[in-house]
Amino acid sequence: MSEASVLYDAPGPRAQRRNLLFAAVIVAVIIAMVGWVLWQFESKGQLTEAKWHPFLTANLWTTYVLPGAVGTLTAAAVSIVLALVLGLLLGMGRLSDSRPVRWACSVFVEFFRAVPVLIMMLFAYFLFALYDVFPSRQLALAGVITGLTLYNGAVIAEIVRAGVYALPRGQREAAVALGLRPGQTLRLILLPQAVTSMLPVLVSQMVVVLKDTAIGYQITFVEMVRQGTNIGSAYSNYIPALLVIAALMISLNFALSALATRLEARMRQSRRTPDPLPVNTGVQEDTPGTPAA
Amino acid sequence: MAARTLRRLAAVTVLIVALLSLSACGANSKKITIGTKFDQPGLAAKKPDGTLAGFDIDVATYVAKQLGYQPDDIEWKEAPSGQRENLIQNHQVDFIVATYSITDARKQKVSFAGPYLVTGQSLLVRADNNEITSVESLQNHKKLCSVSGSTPAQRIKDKYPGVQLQQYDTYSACLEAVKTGAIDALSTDEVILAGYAAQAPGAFKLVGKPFSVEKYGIGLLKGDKELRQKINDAIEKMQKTGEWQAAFDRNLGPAGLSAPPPPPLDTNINAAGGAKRVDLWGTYGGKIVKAFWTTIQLTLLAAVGALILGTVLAAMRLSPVPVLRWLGTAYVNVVRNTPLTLIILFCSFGIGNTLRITLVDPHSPTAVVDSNFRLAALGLTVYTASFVCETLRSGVNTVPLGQAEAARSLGLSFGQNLRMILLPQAFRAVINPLGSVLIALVKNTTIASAIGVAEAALLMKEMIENTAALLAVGSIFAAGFVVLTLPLGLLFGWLGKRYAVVR
Repeated sequence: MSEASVLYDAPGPRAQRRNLLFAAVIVAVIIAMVGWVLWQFESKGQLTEAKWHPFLTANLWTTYVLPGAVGTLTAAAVSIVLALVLGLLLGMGRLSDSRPVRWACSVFVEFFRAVPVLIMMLFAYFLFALYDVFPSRQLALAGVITGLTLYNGAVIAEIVRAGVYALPRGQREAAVALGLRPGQTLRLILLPQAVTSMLPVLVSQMVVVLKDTAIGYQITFVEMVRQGTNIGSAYSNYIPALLVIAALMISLNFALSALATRLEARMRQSRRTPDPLPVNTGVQEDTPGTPAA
Repeated sequence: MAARTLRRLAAVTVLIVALLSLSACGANSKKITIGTKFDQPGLAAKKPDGTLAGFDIDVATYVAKQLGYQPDDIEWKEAPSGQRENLIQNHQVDFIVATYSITDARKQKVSFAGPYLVTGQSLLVRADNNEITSVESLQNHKKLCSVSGSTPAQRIKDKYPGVQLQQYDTYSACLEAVKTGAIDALSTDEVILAGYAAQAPGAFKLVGKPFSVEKYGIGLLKGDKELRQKINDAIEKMQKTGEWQAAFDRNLGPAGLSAPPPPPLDTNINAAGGAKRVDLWGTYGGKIVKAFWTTIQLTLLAAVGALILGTVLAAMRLSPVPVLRWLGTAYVNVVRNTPLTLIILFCSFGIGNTLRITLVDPHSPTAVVDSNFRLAALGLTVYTASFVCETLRSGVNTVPLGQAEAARSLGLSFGQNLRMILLPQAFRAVINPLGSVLIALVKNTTIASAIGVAEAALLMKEMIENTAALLAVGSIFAAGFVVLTLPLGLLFGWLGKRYAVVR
């Protein structure tokens, strides 16, 4: 059912007229709603020049937005790298032949998929503060990275497992026939192919990580959303600041999502790479307690 | 190839960790490090050009000068409320001037010089508000804002139960709500309020007498009598020369606050009484159950909303009308790429405070709590619906082409086709993924704490700040969520198998 046109006939003259009418009505409704919102904002004084002009000054960008962007990107980049390492280890652990290793990795993965990222961040943040693990400047960053790494590591472990399971059986069988040990089979044959096929899913996981850095807002981490509220308090333009930050975040994430989709399409066409795991955009993660598909 | 990729990944990780730890070092012996706030206008705040200004900054600079350091020798370090004792104990700062109230609990860990300023909790309202004159006049369900988990918020909760308390996680958020008129008053220490009032002259005013006593001191390493004596001498000198008065008028005068008499120095260096131990379950048991109940209610409400909205969106994205398809796609792409924190903040500030769609009767005695809850549910619905829509669409993709073609050849319209043939099969195919979305929703409800919904994460923050039992508190809440989500996962896994479409 990939073709939408299977669901209905190509529109004839009447359907085309109906579609036009629909379009006109919907556009009118949207314009009316936007107009009402703008009018409300205007009457509450949100659209005055004083509230929007600061966005044209360099100070606003250098003092607030740039550090915020640096914070968001640093946290996201470090977390995704660490999560990748953790995820690979855990994924290999769950595929291991040793029962205790498999069991321990499963408990770890299920636990960290079940606990909200915010709870982990709060815990890590206060734990690091209590035992002075990190200098105070890096405390919030460390809290955010810990939370994101543990959660996304657990999610990536499941992706790795799904990637290995999705490979043709012949690969493992051929490796066994060549006399490779189970560890060698995994390391030399299965994982390299699985990692390649995971690439698009990993890029879309990157969007999740980028969005989730905003949760660090609650442990005083200097990221985009917190800087947005700081702009709001410095220039008393709370709503405009949040709107601008939202626009920036959405464009960045949108670009990454588009990249994931394109990667998937390209790899599906290419014959040199294994088929990619589908970028399942609707599903945020696997369900704890159930085996991956 | 994978081995090389792995090795490269490991190298990058090591490099990043090394860089992080490097950038933390680099102390200079000629410099002095002073901890302060960066976001407290009037006392200590970063200006748009990046420099700091305020009364605390002036006091700190004066004290540093008396100790033999020029303004250029000072390295400022941000000292958020929750980290101040740690910063001092770990020698990361020489002393802290950061609206730091002298309390017995804190004296267990650090020593205080001063106090250099005495203030108390007070109220800030809009300049045109004549209804509120004192904290008593708030008692008839007026709406008051303060920072979640802070001492002022706790005092209001304990002593003035008739007040409706809105909790945001920064004062500037509270101030914004007062400015739009959605909230009647903001409460915290008088000088902090004065700083905000001075920022926007004529927009706000301070009302009533302070109803608590807060003595701001300069925090330093416990038992460092020599430094404490030097700082005390410096404060005394600042007060005698009139420099203290001038700094006060310069920073807090514009708010109409006249300088109080400089406080006498505190002679009692030691704490009275021992550390309190809190009986976790006895004090918080009921609250924990209530918080998780709020989490569950929030989840259920948003789940039903998201299922309906998500189905409508999926139908739109599949429909023969181009403009509907376009609308559905735009919605999903925008919402899915926005951080949930932003969506929730928008619901509270944009929809609630600015557009005044609070979803409650504004005169109800529980308007604030209900409004926050419903707006958070709205935000979660809007966010989750985009995932429900995409899940359903992938479910429709699992239905064999022949089904839709057969339905069409029977003469079913698009609506009938969707309603009777496609969606029933699609729903059964995506029970398991929908379960994942539901579980993600359970976890996402924690983000509602940003606008003060009293669910699990907000209580966790409060408990961490009020009890010294971090490990126990963390375990309780982690366990709570495991208990909520694991059975859900198992249930949906079973349902998915039970109702799978056999092909």
